[in-house]
Amino acid sequence: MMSVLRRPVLFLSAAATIAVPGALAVLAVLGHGHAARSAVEQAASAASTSGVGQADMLPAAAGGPAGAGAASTAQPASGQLAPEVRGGAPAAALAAAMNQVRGAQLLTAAATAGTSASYRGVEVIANTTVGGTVTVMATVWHRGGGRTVTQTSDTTALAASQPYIVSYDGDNRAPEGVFGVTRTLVRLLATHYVAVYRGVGTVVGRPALIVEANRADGSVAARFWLDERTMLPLRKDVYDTADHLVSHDEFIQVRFGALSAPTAAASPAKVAGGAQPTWTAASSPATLLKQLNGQGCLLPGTLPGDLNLYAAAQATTASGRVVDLGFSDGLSAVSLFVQRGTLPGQLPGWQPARLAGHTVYVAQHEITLSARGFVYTLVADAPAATVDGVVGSLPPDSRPGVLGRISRGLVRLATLADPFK
Amino acid sequence: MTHLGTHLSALVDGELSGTDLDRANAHLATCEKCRGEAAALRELKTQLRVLVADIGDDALTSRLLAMPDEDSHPSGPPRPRPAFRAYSYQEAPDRPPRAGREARRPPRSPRHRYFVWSAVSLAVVGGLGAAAFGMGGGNPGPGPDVIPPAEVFNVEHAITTGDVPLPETSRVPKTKTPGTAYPSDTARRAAQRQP
Repeated sequence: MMSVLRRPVLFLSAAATIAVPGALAVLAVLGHGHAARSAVEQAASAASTSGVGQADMLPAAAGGPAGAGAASTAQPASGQLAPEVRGGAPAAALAAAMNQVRGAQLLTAAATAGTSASYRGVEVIANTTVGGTVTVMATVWHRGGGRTVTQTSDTTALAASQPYIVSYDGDNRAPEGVFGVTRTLVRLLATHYVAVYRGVGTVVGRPALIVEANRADGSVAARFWLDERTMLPLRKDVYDTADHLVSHDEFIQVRFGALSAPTAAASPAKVAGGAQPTWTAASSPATLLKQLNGQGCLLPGTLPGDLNLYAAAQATTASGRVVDLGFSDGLSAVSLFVQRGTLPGQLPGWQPARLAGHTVYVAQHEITLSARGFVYTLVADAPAATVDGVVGSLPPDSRPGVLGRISRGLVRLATLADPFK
Repeated sequence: MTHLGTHLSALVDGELSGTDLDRANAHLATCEKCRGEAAALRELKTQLRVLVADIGDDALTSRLLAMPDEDSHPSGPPRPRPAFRAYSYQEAPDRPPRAGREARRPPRSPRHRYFVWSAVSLAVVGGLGAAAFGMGGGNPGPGPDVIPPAEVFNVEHAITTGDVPLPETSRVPKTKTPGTAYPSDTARRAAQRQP
């Protein structure tokens, strides 16, 4: 020990080696605890100080622009307006905590109902994408635990409607929920947002339970209306950080129970689904991403907007092997498809655009670009700012500098040396 | 036949006392080989002292030569070597004095070790950097022309996220009104007329 103390440089190196990771670990633990505490405190504070404020805000956002208010109505959770709750801070905090617990439970039940309930309904889906707003209408038929058929039409071309039918085979792969409320995404939502039960309302004449997903700062990120009897999501609104409505999904007709499937042969519909390749889900999405990075992709594990990698699959299509990487924070979802190759000079049906420093091609909520021998195609259900950030995080189509080259080489070396790959 | 071995230097340095000193002297009286070695060691010590005196002007060298061993005491009588108490001369292993390269190698100073380790660290970091630079070079080939199968991707995205795939007819957005996603009244009424 004394001999180490006689060498100041060695001593300082040893001290830094021990102290720096230790300090980082302490900061990480304290920061996590602080963030969790802040979220709970803000939720409790909002509930205790604005029992009426929440009630004021709710119908305004729930009603939305003119014309939409007739379909859905909302009343705040009775517990928040009760005099005894407004009277005492501990009682208000307790009520807020209970509403959070109930909110999380309701969303989990909604994810289960999305696959187990049998129903037939008509959905209106409106998304603000990078290129503008897309509004479509879909007739959805689902048998609990089994097959799903969707028949989608562009609402701006209903007169000359050529429905687009997708039939999912329950034995193969089928949608895992309704309006993005799946078990996986609900779990992710719980890590990024605070789900809070907000009371009752109605959608298409059916009583519904309202659950909000709040950000850490207390602002509303999304609002869900869940059918009171079956828990099926009947409506979902998503707001960006500027409180703009960026996505609106709603059932305008719905019937529950065992109903006959629609007949595709009756209309000159374009039938998809049969052309779907067989996708093989990766048991470890992170491992698949690491393999891709070893081949030169250099994609991050978390995309801007706190979108975590939660799923990965690969398939062989007519244009070669494709890897699908699913990123989400529970509300926004981005599927990033990666394949070897370059984009041709002309892409029919796609609009060229400049986005986050990349030359891209846009088609509704899809964006494609090529860089360094790979074609990246994003299918994004996310606010435009998030999509901008995601595109900006993709590798640029230019030669890397010395540091970039060393960084890429280190990643490749790590991939080669990884004993768990 | 066993000899004084490593205890010979202790005898020459005057570090032995009492019974140990008597035993060593008795052995020297009967062993010509050890006597010769003791004489050689004493001669070496004398020459080293002369050498120190000759280069006394060099302050750094003097300080280096004057640095005490880690085991030595700055003051007081020399410490008896404890190994003498463990076994007698008859039981002591017959260890020949160090020979060859090991005997000629000078003792390493802490500063020397520090430089060696720094050089090794730099070599490792530099080698790793060079290897990473080499591995990171070269983009993958341009590959074939690819038209993304948007329909396939749309359906896969819908399956993963539990949403409805958008129809191919609406691939180019019809309206451009950022900030609102509500369907128009016309669209809503048209939708409600559907069976």
